[in-house]
Amino acid sequence: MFAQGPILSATAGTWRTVPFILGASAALVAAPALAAEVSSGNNEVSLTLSGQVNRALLWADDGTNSRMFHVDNANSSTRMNLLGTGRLNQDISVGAQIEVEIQSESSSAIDIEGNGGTAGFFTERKLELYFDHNRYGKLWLGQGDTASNGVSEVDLSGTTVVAYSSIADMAGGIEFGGIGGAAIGGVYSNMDGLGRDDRIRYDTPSFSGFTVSASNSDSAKYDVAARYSGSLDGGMKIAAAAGYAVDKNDIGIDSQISGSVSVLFNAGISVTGALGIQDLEGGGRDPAFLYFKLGYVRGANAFSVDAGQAEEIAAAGQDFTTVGVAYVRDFANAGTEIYIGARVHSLDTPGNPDDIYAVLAGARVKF
Amino acid sequence: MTNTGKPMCRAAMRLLAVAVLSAGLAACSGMQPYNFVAVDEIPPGPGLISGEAGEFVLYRR
Repeated sequence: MFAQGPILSATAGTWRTVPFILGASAALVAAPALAAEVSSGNNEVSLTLSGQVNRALLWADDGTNSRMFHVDNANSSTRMNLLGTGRLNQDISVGAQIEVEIQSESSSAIDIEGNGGTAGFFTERKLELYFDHNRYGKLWLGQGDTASNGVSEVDLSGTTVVAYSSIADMAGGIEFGGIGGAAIGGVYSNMDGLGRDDRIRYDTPSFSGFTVSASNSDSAKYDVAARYSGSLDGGMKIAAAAGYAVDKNDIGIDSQISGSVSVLFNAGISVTGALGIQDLEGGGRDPAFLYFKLGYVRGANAFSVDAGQAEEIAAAGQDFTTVGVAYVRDFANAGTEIYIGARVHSLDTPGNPDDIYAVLAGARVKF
Repeated sequence: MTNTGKPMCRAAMRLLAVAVLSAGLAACSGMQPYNFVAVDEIPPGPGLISGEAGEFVLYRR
């Protein structure tokens, strides 16, 4: 990778043109110093690179087989992000973003025989641009978060790197009753809106912490969402989101309502809840899920216990439950977290398969 | 097996209504907006190599 054209000098507030080619390593090493000397608000354009690596050991037991795997933690996958920003004028900023994930053996997809975890080298997450007006809001175009993506995943516990409402990220490919059975990821869903997709999206400006969003992926796939985040004197925090989505393309969702709320109190205790329901084309099932989490943050340490239930996600009468615990140690100055989480998954369905146990332990390093 | 989906749906709707009302009350009680970062984003804060900025500035003018 090469940096081209003008680049900020080591002297704050002055500019100079460096020779055309600058080696990537030199640019990366110099970047923190340059960033530290840049005064925000005076820059017209910038291109930044960020990313993280999140690797873990996953142990899973489906009642018949027990194995350990080396995985990429799908709770927050290994990825890179390139973000270019600039201004059209005083009121409108513009940005372009490319974010890809690179997962070798995803914890959410690998099965008990160690297959299925690697989808490809680069997987698209965001390939989008936006126009952000000071007074009229933000317009997005391209592959990225639909308006409702994330509405089920509001969580202030500090343990989301290993446990949050998307519980299938830990061991979603492990199947009840062994290979050929129902996978955890198939019988549980947190109904997190419409995920990421090629779409057009609009966000209102924030009104006292509230924003409303809408997006359209095509004539049969669209959604709206509302979000709130607020803090009391920099102490207690509240975040909440709710969304309504229609997706008649893939699995025939006539409507989906989902949301979540999380409160972090001054004492470090947090309470988080999420829920969702779907109305399917043709009926026959009433998919729904509930999730609850109790957390405690003390300094750099975060603990949580959580429980979830999902009904009729894959078949009528099916009932899935899960209970988990998690611990995260945050080395904030080094951009590093180490974590461990454990979870038991149960499925009430004909045949009464054994419970699935899983433990995920690893580290996320933001570079 | 008894279909328990519909009772759960009703409970979910009630909880959602409570959550929305709670957020509305919170907004009217002196809360200040802050920038919540979604759980599936690269977390804010310093990076191991990038330092306090948490990102590398490849180009800026």
